[in-house]
Amino acid sequence: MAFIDLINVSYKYPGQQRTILHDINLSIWNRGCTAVTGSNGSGKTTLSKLLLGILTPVTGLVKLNGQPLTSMTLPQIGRRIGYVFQNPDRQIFCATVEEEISFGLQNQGLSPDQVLQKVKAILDYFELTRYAHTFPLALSAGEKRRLAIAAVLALEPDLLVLDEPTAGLDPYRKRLLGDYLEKIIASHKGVVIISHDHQFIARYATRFIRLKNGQVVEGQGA
Amino acid sequence: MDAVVVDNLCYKYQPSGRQILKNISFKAGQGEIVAVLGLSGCGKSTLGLCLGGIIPHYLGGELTGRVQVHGIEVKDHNVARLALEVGLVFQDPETQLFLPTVEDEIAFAPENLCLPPEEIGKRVYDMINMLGLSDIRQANPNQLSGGQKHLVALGAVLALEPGILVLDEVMAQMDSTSKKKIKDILVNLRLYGKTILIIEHELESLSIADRILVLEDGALIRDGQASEIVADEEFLARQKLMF
Amino acid sequence: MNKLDPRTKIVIILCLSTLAVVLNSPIPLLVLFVLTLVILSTFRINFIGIMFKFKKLLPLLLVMLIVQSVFAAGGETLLAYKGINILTSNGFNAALCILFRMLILFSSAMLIMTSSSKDYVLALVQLKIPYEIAFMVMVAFRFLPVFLEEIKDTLIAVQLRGVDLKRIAWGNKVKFYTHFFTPLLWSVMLKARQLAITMEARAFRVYRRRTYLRVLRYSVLDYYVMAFFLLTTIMVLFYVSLDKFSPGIFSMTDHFQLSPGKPLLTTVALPVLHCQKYKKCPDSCSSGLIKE
Ligand SMILES: Nc1ncnc2c1ncn2[C@@H]1O[C@H](COP(=O)(O)OP(=O)(O)O)[C@@H](O)[C@H]1O
Ligand SMILES: Nc1ncnc2c1ncn2[C@@H]1O[C@H](COP(=O)(O)OP(=O)(O)O)[C@@H](O)[C@H]1O
Ligand SMILES: [Mg+2]
Ligand SMILES: [Mg+2]
Repeated sequence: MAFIDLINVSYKYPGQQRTILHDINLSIWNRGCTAVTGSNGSGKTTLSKLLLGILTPVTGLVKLNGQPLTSMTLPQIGRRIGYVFQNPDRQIFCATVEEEISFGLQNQGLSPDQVLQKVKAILDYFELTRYAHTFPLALSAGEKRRLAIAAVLALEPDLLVLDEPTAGLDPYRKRLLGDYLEKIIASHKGVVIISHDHQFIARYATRFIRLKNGQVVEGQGA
Repeated sequence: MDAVVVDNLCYKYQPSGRQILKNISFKAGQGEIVAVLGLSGCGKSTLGLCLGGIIPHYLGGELTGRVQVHGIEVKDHNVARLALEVGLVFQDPETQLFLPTVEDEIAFAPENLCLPPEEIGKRVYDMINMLGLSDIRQANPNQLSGGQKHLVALGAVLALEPGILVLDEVMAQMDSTSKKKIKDILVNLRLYGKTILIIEHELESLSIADRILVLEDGALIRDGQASEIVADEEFLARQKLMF
Repeated sequence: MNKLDPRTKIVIILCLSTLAVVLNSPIPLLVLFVLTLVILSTFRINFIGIMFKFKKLLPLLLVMLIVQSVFAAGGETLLAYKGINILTSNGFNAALCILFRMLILFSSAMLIMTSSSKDYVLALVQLKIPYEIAFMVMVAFRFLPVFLEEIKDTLIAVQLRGVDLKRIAWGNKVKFYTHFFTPLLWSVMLKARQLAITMEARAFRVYRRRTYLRVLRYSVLDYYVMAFFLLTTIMVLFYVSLDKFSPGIFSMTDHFQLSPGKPLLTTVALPVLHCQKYKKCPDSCSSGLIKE
């Protein structure tokens, strides 16, 4: 049993003709770095939302640690899996950058001191300290992306799912992100990266999945 | 005459805030592809917004210096008038599509130009073929994936046939096929004398550029031939612009 | 039928809703409702799913029923508690009217969805409404679902970061929503501004006039359909206004006593309601719901 199992999963958006994903069987472990690639509109984002239980498969089943996702609540899932949306605007909901990062930590029941420490460390690492008290939606696109990623990384989930995390990041920040991911993976956690950025995944990913015509194809050359 | 003239441009979003653009001066000639390179947050998108007149007409702030497109002063004309000269594709794919179908989206700009329906139809047809959107012609733009949205937004702007194009990280969310397609289209447009400003991070996407402007924290620190700057690995590494 | 001009659809909707508002007793409204459903099915609209959504309104309807009974004077008392009329035939009628009216309004509004919102812009423009206003209306309508979608995603993000919205206490819930209200409001305003920017950056309003890729044209069918609906509506309106002076089938008061068509319909069409609502009150029912 893997960390996440997709069993015969098919998906189609309500009211649409086209089935985006056909009968997918896939196992994802909370180890190593899995890269998901595929052309625009091939269903990568859809797949990631299925992994999180944000979308429910039309047929088939998604299991987290052997337990069907449908029987779990989003906060329960969120404690195990961290998710960064393709559009960072949608997951930014606090009034300041600092609050955005501390929000999830506070819900984990950490003491104010611990929260403060973690927030400071992660703001420093992602070079967001100078914006700690600014309104997040007034940041540049790349800064918002970094914030969205940082807010989820701070929670240290067992598995991280990142939807196009490098879009809008400059090469230097990509390196920062990649190095952080390597640290996470070294501490026995898993990462799933959805990306078109071949350079990035070639450097950091250990497993390659490609979506094509609603099917998954495994392997580097796929 | 230079298509774009920027002279001593300074800008802050709030009068009390940080200086975002610092004394930027450059020119871009007709038929030139100019790439803007710099770390995220250094002011690239802000510069793009200045060229389209969004700054200062919509975002306010404190702007000094001169920005001219095709000889007209940006400060003195409204955004709709400037749109006839400068086509702007914004960085965020989500908030720039608002019509029910992809086709309507592309038809919107030529409709504003009061063109006859046959001409509008022709432009829509051309764009859809050029960008390979025929599969999603009747699709709802809100339900497309990020890269597809950028393709549609690009088509919608190109249908205006502006002389100057500003593309803000449009290729960032696209797959390699679409990226290649966009690059081919841009090279082709250059032949027609269009001036193109592209903002991108990947050096690979910059291979089509004639010139590169490098920004650092709002200041223009280098302006030179693309081949020369791409070859200067020491400089790029120092500026943290190499992956 | 889906090929009908959006202007024709607007006329149909206006006719149906005018009738729904004017008619004031259950049977004509029921007939009108059935007619609306027939129209919907000629447009191939799946109304059954929407009707199920209406289930949620049933409790509200029950409240209405009682409120109407308590406050509306007259009619037969079907159920009384300590001298207060809990259920009266008038109240029952009024509640039925409200139910049918809502059903008619909602289902006729579904006709709107059979044309794209761009077509309504064209319709409004061709009705000589300034294009700026037409676009404003369309964008507002289009913006709403997009915005709801975004809020949904944001709430998902909030829950994934550890807040169980389904389980938190009411006090905390209020606190939570007020906390996010300001950023949310900001984000809406930023979106609206970005939208205005996008439109203008594509030369919106550069000239006083604008042209359109497609132009709406009435077909023969449009003329027929429109004439049919307008004439029928006018006839019914005329009939109803006559009816005010000499009560008949469209009578406004005391439906069950005066309308000849009613006993049949109340016994045939509403048997379910009958046994559910009247079982418990043998006294008043024995005197008969329907008096000839
Ligand atoms: N909310 C939605 N409703 C209907 N269709 C959608 C929706 N979101 C995405 N789609 C469709 O699903 C397909 C896959 O989208 P997506 O998973 O976002 O692709 P990508 O691989 O680029 O992330 C696209 O063709 C898109 O048109
Ligand atoms: N609307 C705004 N209000 C205030 N500050 C802003 C706004 N938009 C961007 N900024 C700030 O301006 C700087 C430059 O942003 P931008 O031009 O978007 O950068 P980039 O080079 O990544 O495109 C960033 O540091 C950002 O925080
Ligand atoms: Mg995607
Ligand atoms: Mg930018």
